[in-house]
Amino acid sequence: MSNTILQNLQIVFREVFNNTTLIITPLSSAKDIPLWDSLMHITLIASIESKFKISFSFNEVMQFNNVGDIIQVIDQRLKR
Amino acid sequence: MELHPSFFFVFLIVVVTLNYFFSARYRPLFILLASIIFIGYLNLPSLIVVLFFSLINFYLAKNITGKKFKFLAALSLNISAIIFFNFFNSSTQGPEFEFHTAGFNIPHFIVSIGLSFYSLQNIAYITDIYFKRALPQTSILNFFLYNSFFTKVISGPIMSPNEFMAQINSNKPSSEMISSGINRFVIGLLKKMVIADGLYPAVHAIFDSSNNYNGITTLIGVYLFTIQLYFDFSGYTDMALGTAKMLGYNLKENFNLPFRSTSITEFWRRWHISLINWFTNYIYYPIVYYLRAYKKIAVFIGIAATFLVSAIWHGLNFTFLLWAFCFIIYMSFELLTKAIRTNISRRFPPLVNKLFSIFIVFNGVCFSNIFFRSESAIRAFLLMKNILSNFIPANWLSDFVAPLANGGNLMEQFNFLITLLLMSFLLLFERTINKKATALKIDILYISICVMLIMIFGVFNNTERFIYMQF
Amino acid sequence: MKVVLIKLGVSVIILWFSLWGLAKLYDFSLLQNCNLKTSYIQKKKIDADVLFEGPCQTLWMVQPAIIKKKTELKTYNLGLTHADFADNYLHLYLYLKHNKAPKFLFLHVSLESMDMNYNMFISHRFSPFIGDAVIDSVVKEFDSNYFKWVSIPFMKYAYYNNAINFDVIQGLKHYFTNRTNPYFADGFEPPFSLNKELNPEKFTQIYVLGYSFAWDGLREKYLRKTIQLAQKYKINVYLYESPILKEALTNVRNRSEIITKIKNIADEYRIKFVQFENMKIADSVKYFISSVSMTKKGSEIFSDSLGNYIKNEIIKQ
Repeated sequence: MSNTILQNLQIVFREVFNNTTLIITPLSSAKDIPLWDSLMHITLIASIESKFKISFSFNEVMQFNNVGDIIQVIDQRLKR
Repeated sequence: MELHPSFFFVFLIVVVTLNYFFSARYRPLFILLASIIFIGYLNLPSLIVVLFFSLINFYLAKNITGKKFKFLAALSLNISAIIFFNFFNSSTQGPEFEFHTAGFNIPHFIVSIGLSFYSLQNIAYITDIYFKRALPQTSILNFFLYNSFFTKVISGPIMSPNEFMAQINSNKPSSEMISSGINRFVIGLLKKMVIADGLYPAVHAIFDSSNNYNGITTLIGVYLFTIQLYFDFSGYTDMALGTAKMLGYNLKENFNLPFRSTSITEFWRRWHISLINWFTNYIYYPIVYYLRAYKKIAVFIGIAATFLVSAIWHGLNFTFLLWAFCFIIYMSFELLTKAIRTNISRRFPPLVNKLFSIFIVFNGVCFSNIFFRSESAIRAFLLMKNILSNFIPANWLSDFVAPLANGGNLMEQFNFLITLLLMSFLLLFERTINKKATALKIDILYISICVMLIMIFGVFNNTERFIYMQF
Repeated sequence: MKVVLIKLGVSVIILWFSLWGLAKLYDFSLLQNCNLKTSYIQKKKIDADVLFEGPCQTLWMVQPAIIKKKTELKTYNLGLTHADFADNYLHLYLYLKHNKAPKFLFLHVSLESMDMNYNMFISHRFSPFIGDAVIDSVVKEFDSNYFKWVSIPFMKYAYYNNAINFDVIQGLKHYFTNRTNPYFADGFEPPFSLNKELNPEKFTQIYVLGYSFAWDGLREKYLRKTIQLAQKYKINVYLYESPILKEALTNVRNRSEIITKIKNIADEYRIKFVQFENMKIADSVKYFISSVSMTKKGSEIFSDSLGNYIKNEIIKQ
């Protein structure tokens, strides 16, 4: 299940950052991707929500430190 | 109203010593009592106000979760308190800067020490509980301490409830903490008494007189204000953190070498950190989150809202709005042009980019601070006009040196030069000095040098320097 | 913890001694600075026959060289900027400790000198001499906030460090260059040149319409003390008022009242109060740099008149 989430996330990331060769791992964070600033972050969150057809809560968004955290929350949501 | 140095030093020594010998169970109560005495001594009404607001917020928060109306009422109460006291505050300088508003009129001034700061803490507290991010405190005494803790009541740093409460019962002022507290306190005293107070005459001459000085004179005055503000407030922060450390508490940092910022965004992660953290967590993030459907627009609205609220928090003066407006422009510009600027910077060596960025950021901050410091928007614009006209003075001695060096005679030139030298030294070697200031052992040489510098160059003879402004 | 306390104790001891030592260095350097009148009058045997004391009006308007020419008497100008009578009193006290008492003392009085708003006692002039009972009592009376700190080593200098540090450096310079004469050897300092852009109206209307000077008890006290000290040393004391720009006085309401009071004090001590208000130059703005202080040319004419006056006084005796 996680792999599919990661793969789908990667698609979103590649769209948002306009980079077809971008590779992300669960440990990827804003430190690793230079263009990942506050503007991109909000676009990313909104795009992830629309791709996975879910809605993050404020507390959840505040706790995202890396891609792994995002995967975990998406996983929980989809299991419901 | 005055914080007499003799009272403060004796008080500090007594409290730290006694606190060391109290058991962990009684320390919080002891420090609370000390804080009550401290605030009461400075200004009795302020004591009543802080206890009153602590009481109300504590009891309202007890079962506020899910009760929207109660939450909004509590929120309004705290916000009104800030606005109300700002309205009556005759100073236009903003809470952090009021150390220097010498000669305020007491009748026009409704004093309330630290209200703007602890009100933000109270808002954080009730918000976190309402949104189930934290549990209500069980001890009213701990909550009193949270707001009235004397080392931070005057001007922060602003602590989140969890950060502070966790330390109350678990703190033990070890000898390392006391040592590093003393180290920290001493450099704070130096920054404030020698540099900040030493720069005051020059800044005062440029900003508060009705003379139209030459461009370069005004420009230097403008630069010196931002530096003075930095040394004044970071000096205060050092003293606050130092005394808290001596009592076993780790308070939040407020500054992190802000003048080495290479972007305005970075600057606001290095300047008045505890305040910006509050605004980021309680204004910026919520707004951006709720408007995330609008994607990038949400970020700009978030930035604008954050700075506008910050402006109002600083004071009800149009100048603060203009100050905020500058930063909204700066940050929007930075975000929108990031790609272009990254491209351009690739053509230059990293050091050039760094120095150039630092220069631009410093100038941007100084420019907006013209509004921050000026009594009115008109005066601010006049100052800007002065910078652009008559840049080079006809007579360097009377038009440049004299205004900046308190009259310009040989003695004052000497004094001003010393202040500038010490200021430069502290800025250039800040990293090393910070290491000394946070060291866990007492360095006899470091302490001796700091105290000697304070005695030889510190400003003692203006008692207004010791008026920690309340609002 | 013990280590911390020991280190703190060592720091305090080091600081105590360093500050004590630095204060001694300051004491020494300031005494070497011959531009400071308090130092000069103690180091150099001036032994003047005629002494002038007062604030800026004395400093800038009394030229000892001219008076000496007229009277053949050695003259010294002990005037000071911003001098309260207490400053003058202490300067006289220090002078008499180290010099022969003069025959004549001319002490400047004016409307301003009796009003608290126009006076300021400059404590730091006497910082090196804290410890002397007379000086301590005066400093304590005028600047108790300062005086209560002086028991801490170096604090007497720290408190006013911005006014003292430079003088210390200059004192060391004088010491190492063996300089024994001040820049202005006889005490007279020429006034600064008139700012050509200064609107003459500005200083003739310096007094607000209907302004009344307020007679202050503390000024009176030290005026009396200065006279008493001088008389103790059998000095002939003269109170004098230098010329004031006539136009400037029109707004003052109670000039005659103050002058009468000064005359009464003079009578009480059986000394003369000499007024120069009717000098011709008092009518003319071109001799003035402010309503109460004259240009160098004006001071020449005035010093000449002073010289004549003293000559006549000597003849009478």
